[in-house]
Amino acid sequence: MKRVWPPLLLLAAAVGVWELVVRTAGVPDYLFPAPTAVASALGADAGLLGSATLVTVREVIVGYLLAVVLAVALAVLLHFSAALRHALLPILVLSQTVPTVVLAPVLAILLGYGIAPKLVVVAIVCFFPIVVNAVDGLRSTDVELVRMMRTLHGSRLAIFRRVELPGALPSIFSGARVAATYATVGAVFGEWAGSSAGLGFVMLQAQPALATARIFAAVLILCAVALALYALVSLTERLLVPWQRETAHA
Amino acid sequence: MSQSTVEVRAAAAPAVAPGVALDGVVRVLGGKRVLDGVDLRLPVRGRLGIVGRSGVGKSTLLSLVAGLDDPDAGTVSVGGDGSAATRLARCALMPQRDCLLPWRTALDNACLALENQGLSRAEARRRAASLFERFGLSGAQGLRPARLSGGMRQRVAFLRTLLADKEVLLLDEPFGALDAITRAELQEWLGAALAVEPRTVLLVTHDVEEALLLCEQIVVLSGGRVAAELEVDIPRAGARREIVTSPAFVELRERALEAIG
Repeated sequence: MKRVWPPLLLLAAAVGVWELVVRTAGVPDYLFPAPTAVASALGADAGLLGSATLVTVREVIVGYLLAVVLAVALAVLLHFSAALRHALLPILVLSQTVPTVVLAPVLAILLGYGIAPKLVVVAIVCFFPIVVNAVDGLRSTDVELVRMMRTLHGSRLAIFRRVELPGALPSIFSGARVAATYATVGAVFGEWAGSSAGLGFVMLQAQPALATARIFAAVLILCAVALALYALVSLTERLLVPWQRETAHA
Repeated sequence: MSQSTVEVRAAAAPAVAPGVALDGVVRVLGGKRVLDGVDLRLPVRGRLGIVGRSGVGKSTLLSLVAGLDDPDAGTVSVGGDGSAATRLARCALMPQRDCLLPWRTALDNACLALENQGLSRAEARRRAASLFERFGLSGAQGLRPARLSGGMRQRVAFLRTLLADKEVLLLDEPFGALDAITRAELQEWLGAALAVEPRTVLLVTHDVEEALLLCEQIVVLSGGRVAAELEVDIPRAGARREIVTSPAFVELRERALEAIG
């Protein structure tokens, strides 16, 4: 917990300075709202923001889980087939040069205004870091462990199940943690391209109304959602990879 | 301990078809003839120690016997069969580092070979647990490797190898990473364990004393060839200190060290 205090104090100080500057300079709330204005927007628009948050959280969670499942499945496939790995991995890396933002409108045209295009955008942004880390993790298995397993009746499948996959879990989780911070961005892009609900939609609606404080409030909620997802993934990692902490402390 | 070993050897099948046999084995790695015409004979239930400087091809030799690798020339056979698949089916390797899986407890690490053979985890644990009791590892069952001392880890690694239920055990510097006191303790422990669970053993080590204490026969590798073959015919009764200072032991050690060069 000691590591939490310095950034928290710095953040509090920054918020304090922000409030002070906005108030003393008399900046109007529609241009740049003070923290207190954002806080009151959070309270006043609680109903609107609350239902929008539920929509976005659903997109984030389902899209993220979709990405995790597909990414790990593809990583396993690439791990077992060298030919596929050599053919597909470079293309995957290349695909990262396509700006996802550009894809969102295309997906909206393709899949309509429902939840589907948002899930796809979230999954696309989260997919890559998980695949790459999972493939790396699976491939970095200690050769000596594999040799040992082969002489202990270890079939290819047994080696995968008992050595390669558990050994790759820390890598898979480090990819999953990075992806967790991308998920909300994906959902907002998806909503901006066409939607009728969600935090991204609320932001779009608030902009012409100059309800800047509400936009800030939405951003704040998005940060909280991303942080919560990150924490959830870290917690899952602690539960599924308990030996890593033990090894680190040994 | 020596008493029971002798009895088991007498009870074993006549050593007509040797347990492990190498004939004119050559293995070239990176342009270097690591093994350059090695001949070896190890009878069923015999114990052969292979000593030599590091980089002399001891581990390469174990890989060949294990069926993890094939020679460039010559033949390697286990139980009279030279195919790599058969060798792999008949040998269990205990690698240099303990290679315990950090995510498994000591007991579950020992269970690996049993689970690989399709036993349920409960049944595998039951069988492994009885061995833990018998070989002085009770209390360590539930601990992950990070919590075990170096000596304990090697014991678990050995039980894991034993539980593979193979005729031939290939031990690659099993105690190389341990301090001298722990190593002496484990040599004694291994000797006792093998007296209860006799197997055909190929022990690779750079420690001549270890090979002499644990094996009936030792071979010195040098320059990719067998530089010396020694029968270890020494009285093994009594304390370790008495054995290692006996004239027969000292003489064998000198001959081995001289061959290592």
